[in-house]
Amino acid sequence: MRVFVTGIGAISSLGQGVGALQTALSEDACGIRMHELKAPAPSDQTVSSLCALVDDIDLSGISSDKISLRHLDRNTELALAATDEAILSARLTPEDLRTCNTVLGTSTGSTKSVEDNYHRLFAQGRNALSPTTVPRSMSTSALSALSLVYGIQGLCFVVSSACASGAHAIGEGFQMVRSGRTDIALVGGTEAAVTFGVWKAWHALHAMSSDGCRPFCATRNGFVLGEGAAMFVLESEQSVERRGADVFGELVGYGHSSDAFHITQPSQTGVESAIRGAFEDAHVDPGEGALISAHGTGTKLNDVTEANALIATVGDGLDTSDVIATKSLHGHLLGAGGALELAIGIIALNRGKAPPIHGYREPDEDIRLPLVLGQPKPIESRYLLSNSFAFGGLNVSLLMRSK
Amino acid sequence: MNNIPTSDDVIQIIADEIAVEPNQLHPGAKLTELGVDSLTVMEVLFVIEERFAMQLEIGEHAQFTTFGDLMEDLHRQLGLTAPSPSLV
Repeated sequence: MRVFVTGIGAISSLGQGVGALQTALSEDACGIRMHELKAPAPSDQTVSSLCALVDDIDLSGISSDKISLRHLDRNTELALAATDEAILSARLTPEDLRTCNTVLGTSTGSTKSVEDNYHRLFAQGRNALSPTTVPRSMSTSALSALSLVYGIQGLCFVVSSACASGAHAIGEGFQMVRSGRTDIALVGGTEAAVTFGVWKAWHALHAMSSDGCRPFCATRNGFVLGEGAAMFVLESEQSVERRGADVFGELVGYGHSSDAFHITQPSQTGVESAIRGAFEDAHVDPGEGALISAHGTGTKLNDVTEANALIATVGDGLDTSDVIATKSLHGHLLGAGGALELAIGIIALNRGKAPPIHGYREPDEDIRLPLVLGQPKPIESRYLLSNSFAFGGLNVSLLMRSK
Repeated sequence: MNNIPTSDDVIQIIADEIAVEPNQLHPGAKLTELGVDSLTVMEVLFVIEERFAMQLEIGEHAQFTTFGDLMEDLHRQLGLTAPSPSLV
């Protein structure tokens, strides 16, 4: 069964909404800037770092009598903002929502509540935690909020696979619709994990850059943390026809693999398997080429591994391919990265223009890819390959075809 | 607010937590109509405990149906003396 994307919603440091995203892409705007991250009060610990944070989250168009929207954690607010837009763009009715399935990718759940409440317990020696600690901190807090606000009574669950969470969520939703298990699936990812504690954890790995995210560049020196959410409505062909829905593109392939190699380092074999799997699943020859939205974190190891894997799998197809790496614009959204990057890829494919890798300075002789550099480039292929490769060797490649 | 709670302090805390005006909190107001469920009651108690460094019992809160029921129990636990005019 064919599966189409009929709704998209997104929010990130590039702005709220697909419109803001389109504007940011056309202006080569970058959402990465210096921010101060503070430890929970009354600690006076802070750290200043490059990261990509959302400026404002506007939920004024959303209301609910099932859950208070006032004290939501940030990951939930981001998920709601993206979902509301996706639902509106797909023109889903309450009955569509009641019966749809929802799969949400997130790697951390609600980080701020966890940090604040355990700071209260361990650092401040308080005897009790807020009774909402559990419902706020649980990894499903955002997902359950979506179900409550939109009356979703279908199959709903969270997928957590580190940096591949959002991509896995989209892939699993794709499988549900393709298999006929559901007509409509609401899928995507959310992440709001740019907190003092999480930053410190990533800093300890020496994987973050202090001067910018420059994927595939010879001077690249790490990634930059970001936050945001992107959600999609996936629909069967029959449902699209029945509802007269507009289509943004067709999801055709879901490639996935696990490296069984190392807890942080990627395996080229594993990455190749996911990329190859996406083309095979779609019955599409890699020789057709694609707009390739790389995982492209800006770390030495990921980028060269991914480059070699793309050469090994796409081969001659690279002659008609364009490689983009949008983490250079919006940072690494961890669990939501795969979702936001797919949204950007779809926008680019429909515009026919690939956005350049922001901040790129000089070529790396070990990376021989058709990178989009300097200015937007006309896209030759009608396919989009979107890669997400996670710590612990969890890999996803999604293949889309333009409408 | 100082560290000895008054009735008005408690009403303000509850009003802030459930995002209503204090004058909407009259004794006969049904908790369900105010959007107050057992989790909200627990959260309100927690905020009061934190604000005034006191320990409160959850007790029979699940049985309360009106705002008056809730305030009567809080009056007893907190030792509040003069009721606020809004409860008269």
